[in-house]
Amino acid sequence: MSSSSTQVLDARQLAYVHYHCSCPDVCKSNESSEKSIPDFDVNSPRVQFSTFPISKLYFCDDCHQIRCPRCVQEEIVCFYCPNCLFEVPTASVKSERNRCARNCFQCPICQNTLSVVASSEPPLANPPAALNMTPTGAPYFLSCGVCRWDSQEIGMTFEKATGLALQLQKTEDERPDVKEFDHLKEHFEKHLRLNIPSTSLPSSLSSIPGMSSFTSRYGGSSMAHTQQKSDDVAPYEAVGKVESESGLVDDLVQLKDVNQITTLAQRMNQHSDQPYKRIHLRTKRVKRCRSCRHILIKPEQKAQATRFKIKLVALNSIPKITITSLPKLILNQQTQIVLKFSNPLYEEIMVELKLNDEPLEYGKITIPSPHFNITPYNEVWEYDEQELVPSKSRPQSSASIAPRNDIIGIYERRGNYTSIIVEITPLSEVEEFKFPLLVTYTTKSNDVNDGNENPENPSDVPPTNKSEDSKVEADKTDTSTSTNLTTRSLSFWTIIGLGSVVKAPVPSRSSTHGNSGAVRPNSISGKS
Amino acid sequence: MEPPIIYYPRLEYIETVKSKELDTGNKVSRKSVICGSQNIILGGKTIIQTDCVIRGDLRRTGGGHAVVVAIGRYCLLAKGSIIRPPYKTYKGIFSYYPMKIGDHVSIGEGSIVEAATIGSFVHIGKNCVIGRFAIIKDCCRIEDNTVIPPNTVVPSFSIYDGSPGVFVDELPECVQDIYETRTKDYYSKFQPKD
Amino acid sequence: MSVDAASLLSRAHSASGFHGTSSVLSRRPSIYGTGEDRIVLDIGSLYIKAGFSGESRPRHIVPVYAGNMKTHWDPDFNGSGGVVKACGESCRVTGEFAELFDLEIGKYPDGLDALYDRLAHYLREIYFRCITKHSKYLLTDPKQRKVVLCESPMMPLTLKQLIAKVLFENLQVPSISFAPSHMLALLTTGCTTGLVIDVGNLETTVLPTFSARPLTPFIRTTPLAGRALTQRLKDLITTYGNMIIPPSTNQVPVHAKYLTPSVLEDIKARFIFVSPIMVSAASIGIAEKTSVDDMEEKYLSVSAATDVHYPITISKVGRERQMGTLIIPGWIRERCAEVLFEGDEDESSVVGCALECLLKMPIHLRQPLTSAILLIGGTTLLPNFQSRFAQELLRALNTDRRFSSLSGLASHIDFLEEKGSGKMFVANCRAWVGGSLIGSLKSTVVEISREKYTGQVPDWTTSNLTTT
Repeated sequence: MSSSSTQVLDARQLAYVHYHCSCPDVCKSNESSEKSIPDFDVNSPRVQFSTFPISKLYFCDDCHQIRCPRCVQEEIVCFYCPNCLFEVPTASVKSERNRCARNCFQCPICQNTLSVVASSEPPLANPPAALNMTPTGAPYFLSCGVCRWDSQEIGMTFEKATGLALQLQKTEDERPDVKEFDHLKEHFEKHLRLNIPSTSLPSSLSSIPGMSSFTSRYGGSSMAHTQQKSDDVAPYEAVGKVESESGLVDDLVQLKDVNQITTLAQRMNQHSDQPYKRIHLRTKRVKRCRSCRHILIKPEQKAQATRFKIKLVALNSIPKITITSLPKLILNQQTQIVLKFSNPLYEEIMVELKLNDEPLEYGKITIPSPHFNITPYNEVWEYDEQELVPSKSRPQSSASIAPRNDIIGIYERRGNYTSIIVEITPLSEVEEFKFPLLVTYTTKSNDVNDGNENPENPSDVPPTNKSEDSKVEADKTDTSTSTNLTTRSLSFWTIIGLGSVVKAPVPSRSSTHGNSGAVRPNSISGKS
Repeated sequence: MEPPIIYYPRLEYIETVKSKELDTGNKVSRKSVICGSQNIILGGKTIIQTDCVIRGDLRRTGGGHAVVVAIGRYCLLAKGSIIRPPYKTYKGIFSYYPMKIGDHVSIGEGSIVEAATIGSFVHIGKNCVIGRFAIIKDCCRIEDNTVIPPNTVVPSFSIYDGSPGVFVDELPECVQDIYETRTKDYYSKFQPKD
Repeated sequence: MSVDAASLLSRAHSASGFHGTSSVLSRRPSIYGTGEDRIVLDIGSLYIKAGFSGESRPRHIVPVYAGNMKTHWDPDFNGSGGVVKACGESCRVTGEFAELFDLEIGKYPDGLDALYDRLAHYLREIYFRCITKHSKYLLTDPKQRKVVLCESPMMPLTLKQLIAKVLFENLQVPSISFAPSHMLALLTTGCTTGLVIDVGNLETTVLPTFSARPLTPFIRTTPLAGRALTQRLKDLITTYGNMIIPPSTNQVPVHAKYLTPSVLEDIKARFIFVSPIMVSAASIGIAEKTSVDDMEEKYLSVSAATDVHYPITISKVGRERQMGTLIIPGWIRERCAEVLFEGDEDESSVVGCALECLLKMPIHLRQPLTSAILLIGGTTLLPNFQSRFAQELLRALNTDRRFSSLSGLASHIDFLEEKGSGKMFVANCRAWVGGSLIGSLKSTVVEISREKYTGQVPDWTTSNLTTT
């Protein structure tokens, strides 16, 4: 809670790529993306709520839009106890107050799960009632393995080792405030019963106690006049009384040790003044797109299953951006970073990058190659790790990269990803250098299939002769839209966070300059 | 941000037997301590780094051969992590119990694991202590420096943090894909250098 | 129909004219397996109280955070050396403990859109998720449960509209009932007549309620409330408090940066109390304002409270915390709350505010209300608040010329918490408990349904809107 100010420090060292979700109900002005898209304000406080790492995002196929945790509709399909992993039927969730009705309890001191322990003492000859509140040796009690709290301290012991919650139910129902509340409810209900027939007013008027009396007086209904006496609620007799604690001020005046007083956090957690807490249930939820109601996430019903019947996540639908090379950002020096765009689709995609029209105040950013394409994802590659990645480190592989590098600003092109270079010159020493990047990607799919039925069309980009292929592709990027292929495109903003900007270290200036200042992309590959 | 390629001295690591029928590709550091290796199963493509300890010798009392520690595919035991089977005294008899670790599990530097079961797609941070007989289900994340008390059950899609470790948040649905890609990526980037 | 019904509620606020009867609201959807419980929400500027109707206490009291940053929690993949980091699957929105809203629209720090974002975030979390490691939330489908919203009469209309927007559009709740918080609180005492004084965080509101009718035209407010107390506490600690920052053992002055809102809130809740002894001169009957600079001179010698050594986080690297000690002088603990009882012509004290309200009341209502005072709101939880309030009230009645016409009431002063069930319900939750009570009564609660929702909400300031 109080740590957040220091967490800022940590955050500075972290780089991230966050995706913006233009939730339809939040940004209603989001019209056709063909028109000029307004600049994205990375410093708006709203950004924290509207940008997410790609892992948290969904993708609605029908709307062809990104969906985020706040623009999906959630429906609970299953309740379960996170400790015993038993499912709880919906009908009993409410009566159990969202808590486990078995044997799962939380330690009042440290929140750890308590375990049921058999006391070593032999049970008494004549065991008392179900729940024995005096520590006279009922055979079971709860014990915390972390802080050593045990329920015998407060005289809580159990006759049986199972169904502990049930054994405690009685005391829960007998709490004075529950009784008082029920009494109050009865009191006002009686009042309502007496009033509704007498006033001949619609029942909605008496929906709030006293409302009927209000209308009868101020509404000037002549009939109600005669009822005036009855509309005052009968005097209420409380069933119990809690006196104010008189010694509290004296205790506070003489307070010596701060730990004698419960902290705010403990109070917040423990506002039901019971010394034990049953473990809170968790849920499995279906998630739907709020615009078209289609299901995006559908987990398997069983509590312990981790599979999903439907799982439409952004990770499998939109290009994934990773920062693969991030040298230190030095004030007033040009630095090259590498962004890797991976294509999760079985179709080739065209990517177009755009920065804000308005330049950043604290830095200059250029993308030498804002248009590029990414070859489709191919499952074969994934199981081909031996081939794929080591080749990157092998020195002779640089020769095979070379032909693909002749487009300025393309760092690497391989498998289902393309890495590009972004040149950054920080102009002020900011704590967090971040910039917005508008990503537009276009999928090409065959007219007839619309890309859905047969996503991996053999006529599309054979992934074998990649090097030649990609070169051709890059050339025809501009014309691709005019061919007989239908295109589908989507634009979304991302925020690229790069951590803090530092001042140039004076002595080693020449060496850093050599790394970061070079324009030729190969200079970076030499470094990695 | 993408992790870089990590180079290790070729001589330090043993790459497990590439017998004809199966290429296990486990990479085990010579500087790790593997006790009772006949009781340990590595699923393949698992990395055991410098100064790790696996106590396969702590097995159930009584004769016969038994698997003590079973570790799945694409797991990572980072530097200095310790795997020790859990023990308890049941009906007056002290005994060790076997431990099972699923696939795509990464255990951070300096963490000590005495769990009964760790599912698949689990990330355990640095300097964690996973207490005796803890059960960590599939798709979980234990943050750095977390202490999971003995007998704790960590349900799927949970993030646990603190000491004692408590549930802090849920993991997104695609976490399985993320951890799978990540462990595979790590393995492929863990490269020898002479 | 529900709009008509809602208008009745709004008229109850305004005590304005009666515009004919409405159709009966009889729709009672049966909710699968769970009866008709509603979700009761009391959205304050620092805490959101949430739970189910028919229960005697809120399930959760959720502190509000600024939500202005994300935790970047996905550290390096193990073993890669601790340099490469990224924000990944465990990233969450967090922030410092902070007020959710302000009463003046112009003061919303980041604009209404940002407020919408925060509200939506919190309400979603309350319905489904877990924010802190200590609390877990309602776990219920918002579409299946109606909502009772406890509203303060001074809650800005814009804010109400925003809340309705989040609930209807984002969470798609079937209906919302707005219920006046003062009256709800009163119901929990079993009475329907009382002078309800809500000392919350942003302001103190005094609203007389007679026979369950909130007499809104007589409402009085003062900004002297929780926030003013927090500010005073901060000023006093920075001026007179000391710190010890290890390894040094010397006491150094307190830097304001260590007094984060959550630290102040914790100190306020744990160590502050209201002194039983009145010291301030009261030439005008109500204690005069004391500036922070004069406080020590005035109160140090007449305070018996002990100094408190409060552990405080100095820095945190990774998970290693460096702890220091904050020394809070005893007299500050005892006298900090004086700020609530000191007023001047421009800004009434809490007591002055109550008396001004009585002064405006019709004469025949004054006495029944004076003997049925109910203090609610978190700030009234300060130990000894009520008895000091009574003392100050008596003094003002006896000595302040402005209130001479009320002096006859002195013998009638009585508090509802002295009678009936006493402190059975905690003062800061009373409005919520009242909401739970009316939500559970076997009568239809007036509501606006999602179908009828047009972006407008009923409010006593715009009651004509609802009649159209």
